[in-house]
Amino acid sequence: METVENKVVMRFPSKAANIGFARTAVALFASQLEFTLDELDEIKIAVSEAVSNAVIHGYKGTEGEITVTCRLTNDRLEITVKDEGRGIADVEQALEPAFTTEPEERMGLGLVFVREYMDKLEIDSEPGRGTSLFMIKSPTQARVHS
Amino acid sequence: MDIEIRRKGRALIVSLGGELDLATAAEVKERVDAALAENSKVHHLIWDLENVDFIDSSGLGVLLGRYKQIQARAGKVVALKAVDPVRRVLRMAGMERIMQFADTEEQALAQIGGR
Repeated sequence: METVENKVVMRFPSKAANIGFARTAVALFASQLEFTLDELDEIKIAVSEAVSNAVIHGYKGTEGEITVTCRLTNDRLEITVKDEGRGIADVEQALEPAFTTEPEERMGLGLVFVREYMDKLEIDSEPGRGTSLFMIKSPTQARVHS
Repeated sequence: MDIEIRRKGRALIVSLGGELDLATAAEVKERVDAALAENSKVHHLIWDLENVDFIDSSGLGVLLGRYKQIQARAGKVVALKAVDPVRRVLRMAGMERIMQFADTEEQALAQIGGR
């Protein structure tokens, strides 16, 4: 099996308008592996939720920078979405379905979707120092384009 | 995002096109809320999602918020012609508990109990 290694780093302001760009770019990058269309949709949702989380909760009304780093190895995609915003006080609580700090029409499903759609999710966060979401996903077929 | 709103009997039919996420949610909320406020005789809401190719939890929040308004009017909410990726997200979020799914406008109108 040929080893594929590639990496891309994107850094952009925490504007809602950039969320679509981020998820589309990551899905395009991910398509170097043999993900199914459903799996690429899942990656787009996970990235959308992670970046939205940075915009809504990380920077909440202020503007900062979001860094999305993607890395491909021969059989897996690694994505890190990092902000330097407010951080999460209680990560375990943030992962509970329907937990949200936003009272208006937020379903509290953002991080639940990320955990559901990716093979692995690790959250590194500290109040006042930002949040980093590290995600891994492998294609079901786990095969690589030649 | 493309937003087209029309009334049919006691139903408001909202046709969306594009991606429903944090960037587009506010505009959809504003337009639909204004239409609901103007049409006090509207009891039901039909979301025509045929041309929506992406939805995430921000988009789901829009649907949920409008559901609460329709629930207050003792009406029903129907998701019409949702494409597979969108339907998957709706089901995963448990939205089938609060809205019905239809493949045609006639079916949607029948599900809300006629026009």
